[in-house]
Amino acid sequence: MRVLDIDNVARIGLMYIDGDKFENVMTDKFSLDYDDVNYIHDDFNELKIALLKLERINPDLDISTVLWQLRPDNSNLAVPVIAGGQGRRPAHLITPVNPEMKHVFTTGESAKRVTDEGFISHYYALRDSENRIVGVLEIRENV
Amino acid sequence: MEVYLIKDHFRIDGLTGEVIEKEFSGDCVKHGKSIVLESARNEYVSFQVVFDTKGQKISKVNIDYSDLRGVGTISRNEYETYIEWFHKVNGKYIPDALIPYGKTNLEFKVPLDEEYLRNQRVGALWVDLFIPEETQPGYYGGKIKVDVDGTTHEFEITVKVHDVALCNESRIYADLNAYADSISAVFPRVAENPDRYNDGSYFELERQFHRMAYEHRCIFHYLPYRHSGIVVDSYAPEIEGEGLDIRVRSWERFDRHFGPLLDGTAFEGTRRGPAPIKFLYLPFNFCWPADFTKWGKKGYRTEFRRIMKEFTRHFEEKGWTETYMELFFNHKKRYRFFPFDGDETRFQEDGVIFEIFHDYVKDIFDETDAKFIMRTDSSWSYGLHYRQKYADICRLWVVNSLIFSWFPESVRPMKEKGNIVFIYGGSGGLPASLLELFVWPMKAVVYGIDGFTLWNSTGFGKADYLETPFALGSEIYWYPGVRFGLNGPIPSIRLKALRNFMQTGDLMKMAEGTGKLDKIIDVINEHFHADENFWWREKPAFINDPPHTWTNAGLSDAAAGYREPVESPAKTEKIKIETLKIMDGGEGK
Repeated sequence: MRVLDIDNVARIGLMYIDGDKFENVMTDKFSLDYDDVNYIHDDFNELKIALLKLERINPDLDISTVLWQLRPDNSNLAVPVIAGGQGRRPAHLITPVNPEMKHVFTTGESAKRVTDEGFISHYYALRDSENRIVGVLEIRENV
Repeated sequence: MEVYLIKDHFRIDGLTGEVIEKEFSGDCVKHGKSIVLESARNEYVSFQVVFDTKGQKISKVNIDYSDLRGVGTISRNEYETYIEWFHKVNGKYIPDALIPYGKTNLEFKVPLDEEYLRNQRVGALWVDLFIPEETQPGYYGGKIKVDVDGTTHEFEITVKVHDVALCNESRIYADLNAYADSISAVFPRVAENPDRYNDGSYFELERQFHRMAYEHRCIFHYLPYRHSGIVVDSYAPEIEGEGLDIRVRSWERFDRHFGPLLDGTAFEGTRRGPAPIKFLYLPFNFCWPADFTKWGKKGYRTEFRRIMKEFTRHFEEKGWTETYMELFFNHKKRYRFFPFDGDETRFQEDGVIFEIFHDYVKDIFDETDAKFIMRTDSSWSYGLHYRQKYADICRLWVVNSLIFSWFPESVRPMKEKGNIVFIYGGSGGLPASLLELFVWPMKAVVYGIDGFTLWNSTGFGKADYLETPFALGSEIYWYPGVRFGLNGPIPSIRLKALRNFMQTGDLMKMAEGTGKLDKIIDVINEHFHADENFWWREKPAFINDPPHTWTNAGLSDAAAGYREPVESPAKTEKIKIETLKIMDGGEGK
């Protein structure tokens, strides 16, 4: 029996996360005040539902997901755009991109990082229909 | 050594002996021999016993009250005494936490704690005296003997009991908002119990907060789910199945949790007597009970409606029909879980969620005898929404205090629709004058609205709340009693003051529908030097712009241009006494 580990869960999930819709789901990617964030409702919900289903692919995994973009005016800053269904409230503020996430944005290769709180985060590239990297999928192990 | 009495609206610094409300210290009368208080029947009055040691230590204090005698007798048993605890805030030692005197492991002495308060100069006791409803109006006198290390200080207390009796049921809702579960963490014995949501220990603890709020004329309002939509354990019944097969599997634990609040038995033994809690949040949200992966599909609607219908049916069967059960969406898109704000709508397209969910529940809410309502918390969009369809959808409106003050014209249509209107805001915490808390019920009276929400009430954070509370105490109105051997909350001076001010507000609201209310509002306005632009404020220039274009800087600028209700805390007593006279039928001035 094939074990659906996090890499496989990500591989399956990414098939259903539409990079084109994700790219422009925030209506103002330059907004700086967190109260200014706004979304295209339908596209957000489609992407959110994909994340929720990804989190359920292997019920034995306790994971949470976030989709990230880089700030268009500063590629050293990462913006959490959509969170999945788990209880963790993502850092809702714009944060400096960590080296592992930067590596994924730059190379398209997946990476792994132990967070400051001791959790393990896995990062995967999200591509659009032209194969450009438009975001990063973070899957965090909640253990 | 100086022992004196002060009233309930000033505080004394434990390090210096100075009045905390320094700007108005001339109004803080130190009563060396006697004190006179005025009260309605069925009301608490409070005062403080202050021990200014001038540097001496106090090792033992006994306080002895006599009965108060007048036309009849007010029993000495109506006194309740608390030890004031001093917190280090902004270089001052401000009293706030109140430890029940003689009922915990804390003995009253000065310093209270050699390690923490080594240089404490002043100790203080907070005293509540309850005037039972059956007390005959008139003057009552009694004695207080305070023995300090063998030396006796004697005080005379006179209470003028007015004819009017304060209503048991509050006419103003004082809402202490909070987020579950923010209390377990500060009660280690409960936090360490992994079965706390099942074995009743957590329910008992939470109920103590509800009881304490109720005793202080407040409502503990405790949101049961997180921003993600995950419901906190035990705040919703267990459900099973999905789609057409979704159903409540068991109400057992939910009923154990909430039954005593909803049937009122949780409040047995309180002064105000048992009564069902006035408001509760429902656990329903964007992700419960309907599966959000079905959003926009018929299955989502089916799941939401089926469980809502089970709720109303269950509440009817149980006879829980007195509590407003609120369908409220606290979700904010800034937290990235959802694309729309359920709370504080800013972008107008987000208003669609009220329409969607109203469509789901309208017929269910209309058919039930239970009080199920939709709630909105409104700020940026209030000026638009109160005039639109949302005023017919949402029955409970909790409105930003500043923004509400721009729309006096909104009160009448909202009341005509039968909507319940609160204003909301924060607190300046321990450094703020107690008058700040008096202003909330006064606004409810002047505005002609139903209540106010104070955000937040259980923001304990990770700070040592007995030393310097998180956010200077601006998010708490009570403290865990664990340090003193109590597995429950202890009150604060600010909670006591709020109760006393609520009593005044409730007295005022009792005058609604009579000519007395106008006289009372005249009294309030006179003391606050209020003109027509004081409570209701001039609208800012940006008010006609779309709310999503407003900036925080613009809002701050607008707020900075208004005169705030900054007056001596002594005004609280003056306004109360004039209100009592008006309610008795006298002139009031």
